Amino acid sequence: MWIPIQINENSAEPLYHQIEVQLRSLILSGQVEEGTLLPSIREFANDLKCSVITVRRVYQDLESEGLLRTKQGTGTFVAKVGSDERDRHRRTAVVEAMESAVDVGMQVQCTKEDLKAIFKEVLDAKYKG
Amino acid sequence: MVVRMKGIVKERGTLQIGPMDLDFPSGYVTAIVGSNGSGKSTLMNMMMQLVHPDQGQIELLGHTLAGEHQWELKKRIGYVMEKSWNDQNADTLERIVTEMKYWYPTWNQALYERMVDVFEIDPKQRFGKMSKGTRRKCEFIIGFVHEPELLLLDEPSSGLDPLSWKFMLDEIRAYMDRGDRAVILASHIIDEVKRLADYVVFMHKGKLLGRYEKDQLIDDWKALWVEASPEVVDRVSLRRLGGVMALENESRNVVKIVTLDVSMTEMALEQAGLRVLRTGGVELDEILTYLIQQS
Repeated sequence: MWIPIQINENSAEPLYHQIEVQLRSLILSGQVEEGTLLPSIREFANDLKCSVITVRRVYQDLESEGLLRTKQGTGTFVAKVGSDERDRHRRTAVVEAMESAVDVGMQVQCTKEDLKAIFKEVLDAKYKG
Repeated sequence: MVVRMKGIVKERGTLQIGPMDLDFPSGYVTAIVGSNGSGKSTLMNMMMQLVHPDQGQIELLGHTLAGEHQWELKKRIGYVMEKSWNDQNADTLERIVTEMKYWYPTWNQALYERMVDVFEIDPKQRFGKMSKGTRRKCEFIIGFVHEPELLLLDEPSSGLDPLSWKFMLDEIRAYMDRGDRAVILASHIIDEVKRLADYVVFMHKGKLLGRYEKDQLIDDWKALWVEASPEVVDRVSLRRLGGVMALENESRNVVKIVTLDVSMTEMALEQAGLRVLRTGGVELDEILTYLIQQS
């Protein structure tokens, strides 16, 4: 299974954190399904041009969160994710995106009313037809 | 640890290697990055018992080396040397392989046949008649196919075309998948080091500059482009901020800062009220250059 993770070395965010955030999001959003066998640590490290130390750390973190499980001798699989957890993740992802949109608005001195109007405009345009 | 070096010193003409302590862990790829003549090949030759240190001790696969050749240990190591052997010009891969099968109990015939096939090698062709790249492929096969516990690669990809290079990297990856083997790689090709290495050792003129977890280097070393007019630069001593390795003026109002501890430097910049306009990565060869300048 090839996992679509994009590393940005120009970011100040540590590699393991970038990978962990993206992999968690892929699992919680269902893009990588329950039961999927993830690449071996060495394989994944090679794809991402990072070290096995980093990938092992990500797998261990997500395993302790209950998102992954490791079967001795077979590999690391995506565990069953509860629907509560999935809903919470969906909500968080949307809230974060909106927060950054509001931040941009505040930077260019939009009022609350301006932002509401813009939000409605965008929403109408997206849901048209 | 597959290799432990303790207090190693070796005189090589005008160059003194060491004194240094250096360990290479099992389960990991360690890359040695250094300028020409930094002593990388000598280190590998010491592990192969081709060169003996003047001082210090080497522990190899759990055995202490004590001058006499330990042939049994050599069977557990694979070595792709930097230079080709000229006295092998008249030899062929096919003939060498018939001997190797007896010498190495772990010889993997299926792997050998697959590699000869993918690398498109004629095992009957004399080494002297081969192109540099084809000969390099043969040397890689000879060092690799008995799947040793310790694999020493000294500039393994010199002369390889991009396809063969990719294949070689995939093979090394698959070989390491088991988790109980070790690769020590000397390479000038930064992309190769980035793809393969877990640890990076920097060397310069026989001295050890440091051994690092590779991703830690990539995480910690950054270039920061900071908005700072000359008046501000006079007021705030950027060079003395935590982590700063180098400064460059990009334009009148922008300074590029290279840091080995991005979080520390970012915090210091924030306290000084300076804004970071852009963040960028620092390549391993640039890190080597900065470490050499500092030493």
